[in-house]
Formats: sequence, C-alpha cells, structure tokens
Amino acid sequence: MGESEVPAAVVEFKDVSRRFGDTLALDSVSFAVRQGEFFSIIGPSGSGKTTTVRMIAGLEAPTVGTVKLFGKNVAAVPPHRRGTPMVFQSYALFPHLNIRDNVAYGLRMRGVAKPERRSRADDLLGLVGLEGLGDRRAEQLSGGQQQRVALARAIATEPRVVLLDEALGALDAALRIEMQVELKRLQKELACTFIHVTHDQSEAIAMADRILVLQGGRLEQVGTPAEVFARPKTRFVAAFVGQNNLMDATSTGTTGDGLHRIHTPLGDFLAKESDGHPIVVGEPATLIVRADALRRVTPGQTPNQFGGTIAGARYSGTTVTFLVKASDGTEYRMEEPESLTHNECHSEGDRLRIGDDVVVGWDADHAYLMQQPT
Amino acid sequence: MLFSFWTGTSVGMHSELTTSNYTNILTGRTFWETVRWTLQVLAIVLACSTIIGVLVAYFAARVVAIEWVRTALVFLLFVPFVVSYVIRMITWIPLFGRAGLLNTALTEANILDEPSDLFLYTSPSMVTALIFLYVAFIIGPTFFKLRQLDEDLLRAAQNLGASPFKTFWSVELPLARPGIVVGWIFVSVMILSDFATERIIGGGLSPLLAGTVWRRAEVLLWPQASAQAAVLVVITLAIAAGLLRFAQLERDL
Repeated sequence: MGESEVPAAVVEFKDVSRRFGDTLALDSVSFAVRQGEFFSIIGPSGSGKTTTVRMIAGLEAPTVGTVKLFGKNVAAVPPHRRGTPMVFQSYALFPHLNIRDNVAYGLRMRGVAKPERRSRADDLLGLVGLEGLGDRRAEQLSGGQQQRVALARAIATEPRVVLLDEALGALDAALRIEMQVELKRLQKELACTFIHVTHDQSEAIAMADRILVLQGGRLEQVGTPAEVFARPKTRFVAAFVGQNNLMDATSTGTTGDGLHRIHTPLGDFLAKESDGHPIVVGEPATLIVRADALRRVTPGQTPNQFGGTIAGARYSGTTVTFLVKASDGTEYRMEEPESLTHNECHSEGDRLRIGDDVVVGWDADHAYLMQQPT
Repeated sequence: MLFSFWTGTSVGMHSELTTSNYTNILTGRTFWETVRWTLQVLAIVLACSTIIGVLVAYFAARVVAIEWVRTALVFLLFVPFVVSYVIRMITWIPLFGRAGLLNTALTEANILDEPSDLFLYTSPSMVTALIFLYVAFIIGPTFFKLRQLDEDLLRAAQNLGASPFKTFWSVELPLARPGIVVGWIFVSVMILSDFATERIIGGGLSPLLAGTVWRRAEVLLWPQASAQAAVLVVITLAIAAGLLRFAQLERDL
C-alpha cells in the first residue's frame, strides 16, 4: 500500500557522470523526479546543472551511468523522440516564424494539420495572456512576453515533462516574481512535471516542491525547500541556499541542556546540534547562523555575541542587510526588517551607518552546528 | 555608354546619334536566343551550386566538430582564388580534354571504348565548369550564416520533436536563406559578366551574353557591343534587385 502511493519516477539518474576532456562536469549523481513535481536544480555556474538538464533532453549523453525517462533507459533515444521540450534563458524563439507558428512548431513536427495547430496555438497564447499577438514576430515582443511564448511553445504538445534552463534568468526582478507565480500556476493546472534549473536559490525556494543542490558536479543535497533551507546537509548548501553566516567552530563539550560549548575565532559560544547530525567533540565543525537570526544586542544580553563594525548595507525593499566586519576580518550578514531602520530614522536613534561599531548576537536556538564528513 | 548611340560603319564609327543599335538588338532573334540561353545556364548553375553549396556549408558548419578543421576547410575553399581565373580554367583541359585524365581513366577502365568529346567544349561541360568556379561564393555566406545561428534554436527544435533533417528544413535553411541569396547575387553577376568560360570550356559554340559583347568588340563593332553591354547591365541589375527583394536582406542587416 505504502509503496504504491509513491508516484512513479518521471526522470531517474543513476550514478551519472559526465566528463568533458579533463573536467568532470557531473560526478556520479543519482536522483529521481516524481510525477507532477516542480523540481528545481540549483548550483553556482559550473556546478553541472545545465549538463544535468541537457541529459534529460538528450542534448548531452552521460559518460557513465544511466538516465531513465518514465522508467526506460533513454541512452539510445535521440532528443526529438524524448518529448521533453525545453525553455531556454535566451527564449530561442524562431526569428523566421511569427508567434503563432512558434507556438505551433511542436505540433507541426507531429504532423498536426495547419488549421488545427493554429487554433491550438491561439488557445495557448490566451492561456499565457498573449491573445491576439499571434501575428507578431518575436523581436516585436518584450522579454517577458517572449518568455511566455517560449513557455506556450513548450507546453503545446502536452508533454509530461517540461525543462526550464535558467528560463527566468533574463527577466528583471519584478517580472521574474510575476513569472514565478505564473509558472507555478501553469504547472499545477497542467499537472505536468517541471524540471527547472537556476542559480538563484530564492527562485527555487519560491517555486520548487523539491530542490537538488549541485556543486562542482557533485550532488550536495536533495530535499524540500524547507529542508534545504533550514537543515542544510553540507557547509556549501548552508552558504549557498540559506545565505547563512558560517563560522569555523570546535566543540569543547556539552552543557546539561544538550547544548555544545564551542570555541570559535570570535569567542566561546553555545550552540545546538542539527537534527540527526551528532557533533564529535574536538573535531572541526561549522556554526551556521542565519542572517535574519543575527541582531543588535546590548553587551551581556546573550552569551552568543561579538563586536564588529558595519562595513556595508544593502536595502532590498522590506529588509536591510548589513555587513558586519568582525575583529578577525571575517564578514557576517545581518538582516533587519526595513521598518526597524525606518523607525529609528525618525527617532534619530542609533540608526546604523557604515563605520559604526556594533555588538551583534543571536539566540542559541537560531543557530546550529554542523560537521561535514570530509 | 555614349558609343552605344553612335552609328557603326564597316570601318569604325562616327558620332551621329542613333538608337538603331538598340532597335537592332532588341528586335533581333539571335539576341533574345542568347538572353534565353544565358538565363537558362544561369538558372541551372544557380540550382546546382545551391544544392552543392548548401550541403558543403552544412557539412563544414555542423558535421565537422573540430574548430581548426572547420577553419581549414573554409580556407581551402578559397585557395583556388589565389591563382588567376585563366589558369584555373585552363587546368580543365588536361583533366577533361580528349587526352585528359578523365578520358584516360574511363577508357582504361573500359567504361568508354574511345575518348569522349562530351567532357570538354560542350554545354554540359561549360555548366559544370561554371558551377565549380562559383560554388564557393554560395558556400561562404551560407556557412557563415549557419555558424552565426544561435545553437539554442537547434536545441529547441529538437526538443520540440524535430529530427535533424526537419530541423535543417524548418529552421536552418530558412535562417540561412539570406546567405544563400547573397551567394546567388555574386554568382549571377559573375556569370553574366563571364565571357571566357564559354570559350575555353564551352568551345565557343553556345555563347553567353557577355561573350557576344566580347565578340562584337573583337571585330571592332563598338557601338553594337556597347549597346549590348548596356542591355546586359540592365538585366544584371534587374536580377540582383529581384534577388535582394527575395532575401529581404534589410531585415537581417
């Protein structure tokens, strides 16, 4: 019973490696994408995420390992027989065709008659909010509109999997958020599997049901956004996904209530273990403090605090992120709600300016220790 | 140009203005025969060199995966242009003449009983020569157009279910069209002004337009020659303009 409830894997990678000359673009990666899932693959550039998605599409072949689509090994299946349309960052709209014929391209390749594929294309343009633009050419549309056309073209043949390679990467921030919502809506509506590649962790967290984190061709973690964000398995995931502060730390022992006493370059603190990741006393570990857990404190308010200087500030709408430079020269991110800064601005209180000395601290509950097997 | 309105005499010409050179040409049957023949040759050469040119360009741009091999291929394409036109043409004689390589090979292999005259001094041999002379001008622009093409377009087509052939037919060929048409313009202009190939290879039996101009000039019929040359220029411009419109080059440039 329990087994049959697990949705079938749409895409399955088993120990897949890909070598380009001397470099290993993908290093023995295994994962499975379930039916109907919004699956994001994230990682910095060169992490192998584009190689991964191209292997699904058949545009790259694994050097070692097997790629399965709907349970079948697709090593011998050329891209045009896989039924895995892809949306590109460059949109890749055909410049010699109008918008309608772009959307109808996949149907044309399947031999759907002209009147039928045209009316189907017009329906799809309506679905993505571009009704009436079928006669235009791609270059006459804005970036966001071109993006929608590319999406309509990809879903025209009612595929079971749609691949998105940095699909929103070329849009400006406001449009990107709008498209994130729209993509998610479409994906639910079509009950189709979306596999989405991005270097933008916030985009993945906003849209994905599950996230695969890659770095240097190796799989770092697969999990729900909550898992990856709140309980990163590796130091890399912690830094890349959570925008966390990382600090080298060594446990010197435990307290009565399950906390570790740790020694760091910035002083001795108290920290807890991450669930299911016991910490070995005396071994090097990493203390992870979320940027939004770090706050200004009065000296002595908490055992976890250090002094530093404000080295920079970045306003991003509702929050302000300060860069706090500690005495040993390392920098830490402290995120405050924008309102806090705003109010203090009125009261002419201790509004932070670059160069100000601050004492920052965090609750032991909002930080934890991690030991990465090396 | 002015000469074309002068009156020709048996020993030269004098400056009495006349349009008779034009009326003679435009009403003469042989002239229109030559025009028809020239355009026919042009059409055949364009058709054949387009097929060969596009295939070669596609091979160099897509099938050859190694960058330096690709560069070398394109470079080789233009090596023949290092030697002069006349030398290039004359090399056809030892290859295709009665005692040439091709005839020798074919007779020794007992495919032919005796050397054939078909390979030299005939219309087919002239057309073949013209194709090989000018096909590089189709290959070049087509190759560059194909290389310029955003590879994501090809990936997108494939992922949408287009086989490699369908990708070529529905994406690469339409997008390479401006390159092909630029090639057509080069080839048309050169064939219309080519007066030598039909003599060296074609044997002078089926003259093209430019050749008849040359012949009249040779016998010092300057006014007639000039008038024909003027008509030739008009035809050339008309063809080039027509091709330019077809290419819709302004959209790409």
